[in-house]
Amino acid sequence: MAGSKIIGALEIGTSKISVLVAEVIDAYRLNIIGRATVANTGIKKGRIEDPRAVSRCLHEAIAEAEKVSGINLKSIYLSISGSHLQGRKQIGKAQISHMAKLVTEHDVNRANEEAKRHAIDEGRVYVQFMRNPYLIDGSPVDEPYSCKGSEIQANYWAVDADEGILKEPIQVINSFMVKVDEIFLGSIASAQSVATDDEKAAGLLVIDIGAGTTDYVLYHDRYVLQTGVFDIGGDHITNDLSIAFRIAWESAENIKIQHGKAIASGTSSEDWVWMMGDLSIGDRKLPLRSIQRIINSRLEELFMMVRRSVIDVIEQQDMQCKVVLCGGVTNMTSIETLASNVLKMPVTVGRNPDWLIPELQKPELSTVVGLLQFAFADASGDIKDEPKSKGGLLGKVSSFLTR
Amino acid sequence: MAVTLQPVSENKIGVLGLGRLGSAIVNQIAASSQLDAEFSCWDCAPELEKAELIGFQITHGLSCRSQQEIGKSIFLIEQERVKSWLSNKELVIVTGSCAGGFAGGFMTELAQMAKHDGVSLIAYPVMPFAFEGRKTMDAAKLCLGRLREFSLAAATLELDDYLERIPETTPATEAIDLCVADMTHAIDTLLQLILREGLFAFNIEILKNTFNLGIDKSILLCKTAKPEEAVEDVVNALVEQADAKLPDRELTIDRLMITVLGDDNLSLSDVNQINEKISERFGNPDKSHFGACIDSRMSGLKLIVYACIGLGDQFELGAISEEKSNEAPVKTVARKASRKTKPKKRRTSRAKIKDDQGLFDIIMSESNRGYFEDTDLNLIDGEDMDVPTYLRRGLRIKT
Ligand SMILES: Nc1nc2c(ncn2[C@@H]2O[C@H](COP(=O)(O)OP(=O)(O)OP(=O)(O)O)[C@@H](O)[C@H]2O)c(=O)[nH]1
Ligand SMILES: Nc1ncnc2c1ncn2[C@@H]1O[C@H](COP(=O)(O)OP(=O)(O)OP(=O)(O)O)[C@@H](O)[C@H]1O
Ligand SMILES: [Mg+2]
Ligand SMILES: [Mg+2]
Repeated sequence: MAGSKIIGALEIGTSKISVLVAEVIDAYRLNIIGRATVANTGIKKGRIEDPRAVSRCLHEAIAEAEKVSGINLKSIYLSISGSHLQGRKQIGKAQISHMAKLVTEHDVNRANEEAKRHAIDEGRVYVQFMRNPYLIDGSPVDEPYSCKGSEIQANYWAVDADEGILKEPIQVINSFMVKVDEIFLGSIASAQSVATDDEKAAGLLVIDIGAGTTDYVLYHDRYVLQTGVFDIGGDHITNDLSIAFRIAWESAENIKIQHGKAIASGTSSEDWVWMMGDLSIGDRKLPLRSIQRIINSRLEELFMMVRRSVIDVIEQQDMQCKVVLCGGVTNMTSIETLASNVLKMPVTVGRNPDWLIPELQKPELSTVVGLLQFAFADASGDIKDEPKSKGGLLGKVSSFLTR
Repeated sequence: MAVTLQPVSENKIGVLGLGRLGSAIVNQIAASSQLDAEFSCWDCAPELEKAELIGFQITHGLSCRSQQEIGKSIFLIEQERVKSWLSNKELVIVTGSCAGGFAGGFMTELAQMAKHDGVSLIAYPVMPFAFEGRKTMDAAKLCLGRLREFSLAAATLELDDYLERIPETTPATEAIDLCVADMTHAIDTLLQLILREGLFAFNIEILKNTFNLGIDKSILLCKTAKPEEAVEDVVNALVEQADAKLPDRELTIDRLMITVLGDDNLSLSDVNQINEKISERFGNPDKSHFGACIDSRMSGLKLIVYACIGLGDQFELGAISEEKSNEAPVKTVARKASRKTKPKKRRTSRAKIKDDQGLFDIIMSESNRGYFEDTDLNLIDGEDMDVPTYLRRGLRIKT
């Protein structure tokens, strides 16, 4: 590839919209030339409730990114989330037809097609197929060609989505004459930013806790074994506090960010937090320990839910799994300690790549940074046509949009 | 899903006796109870020793029996005073005669105001003797109906039941004395459970079921235990009590609710562990309700267990709130060594609490979703994740 190309990445998150615009020069250099993060309204739990409000915020974000970069944004990579995304294992089998029982491309294709052909409920569309190792007569292989055996089994982690819900953000984006090139699960985009291939090989669980959703993905041998989304995030913590103390949403959000802690230790029942300027009730003090207990119970429950969903696969694979956290809620003090207590695995807070400017290092930007990396890789042709790491579905997006 | 209420702080419980009968009851509780609730009466005869008198009955004891408009007018006149009395309460327990012109009229208005102001109210009305006549009885029933509409629960005692217990020659007032004693005992027990055992903080379902099913269908026990032994202890105690209640039948547990009560060291994972063990033991976990409370006043761990047994077909009755009624009932627990234990005699003097059906439809579950009120339910394993975790787990939080 010669010359340069413009790429874009967009996350329409529950609390904020983030856009990155970059220039890919000579297929190898990535220059981030525009970025914008704008507070979002109109979304609850990852789901668009008020398309007009989202549209206004998106307009602001795109306009700002375009202004900074001096470029007219034409297309973007988009991340998606929400519990309407459902994943499951799908398998397809084919008899090996070659006389010498050597696997040929034909057999592999038949097994793949079979695996992807599973019936899907009306109103749902596949959004991503993630390849897992083939099994030849029951034993896993990375590269099936010219292996010997009598039966090949293709394995995929397949994710499908509610078509109506999936279309909502795409329609808003299209209304600005911006095309969606690819869509990625938010968890996979985030993982691209915070995890290395080595970590994905060793066994890694990436958990992105945003404002409205918690997205996770489990890797082993660099394959995606499982993904999942819970419609629970930082907004739930804010809501819990707001209900418990009968305080306004904004006050609860402030208190969460200023005084929130994932573990309620080291606080005495005599510690108070002053809440200033909540006009509805005037200045008032709240017990710090209660704040922390409320947060602790919510996050503990959330990590427990993640653990319950992945533990079977982890045990089955007998892997030494590590955990990387990202998303805005990761800013919460001592969240990694709580996570590792509950998940019973080593936990770190994820970091976006070092070469980014500090403003882009924040954990809430992992998704959009990861998307940009995917766009970059595709643009530069760097990532070869390797099904296990390539997840976008250009064909699918455009085809169901033109319907 | 467990429907939970906010925990009640000690000094925010008000116990109010209305009229002659109600005042007598509350005065007795105030005299005997060491609990830290506010005991008040509204009466004509201010000879109260313990309970505080907050209002005079304008009828001056002239007995405007069954003319409940009078009680209502008094309420209207005294509205402001009642409102300010209510304003610092989280839970109100009110008792009085449904047939009293004053108590009957006043009580329903009070319940309505409490509901409007977001104060939980539990009513313990007394139903009149049948010999007082149709008019009185009808007025009392009307009153009870309205109480059910506005209060969290209404558990009645009927004076006629007490007539059967006294010799025919003795005056009916003796039946009233018995009734007052039982009511005193019932309210005091409830207060104990709320204040000492964190019952209310845990689960309103327990209250509902206790009120609804009658004491012979339910087992309520409180065990102090170590986490490791807790489950076995509970199982044994359950089997023992069930044996005493239904000696000839195979033990089936139709509902099971467990509160874990612990000191500051109790963590959610301890609770989860106990929960898991109990689910293992009794099967289908969403058949059982589970909650926990941290109470810094106590030390160690305590389990409060509430189980309904041998309901059979009755299981379908209004005792179980709508969302629960389609659950598959019944799991069987193997009866083991505890067969040997002797069945205990049931105490007959205990108040018989009537089956009241279908009264609890105003209980908050939706309203705990706050910001997510208008969004789709976020159901995972039967629990709405949009409701704060601490509420669903019944964690006692100081606010
Ligand atoms: N017959 C009789 N009934 C009593 C007596 N004490 C209480 N009751 C019962 O209580 C009911 C009246 O309730 P009270 O508490 O006296 O009524 P009140 O709320 O003070 O209101 P008033 O009707 O204005 O006196 C009667 O209908 C009886 O069921 C009593 O000494 N004799
Ligand atoms: N220091 C902090 N402590 C606790 N929570 C924080 C902190 N900083 C940000 N948050 C929370 O992080 C959340 C925002 O995270 P993020 O930006 O990753 O979400 P999003 O991408 O907008 O939403 P989603 O991906 O769920 O749709 C908000 O709920 C915010 O309150
Ligand atoms: Mg996000
Ligand atoms: Mg998210």
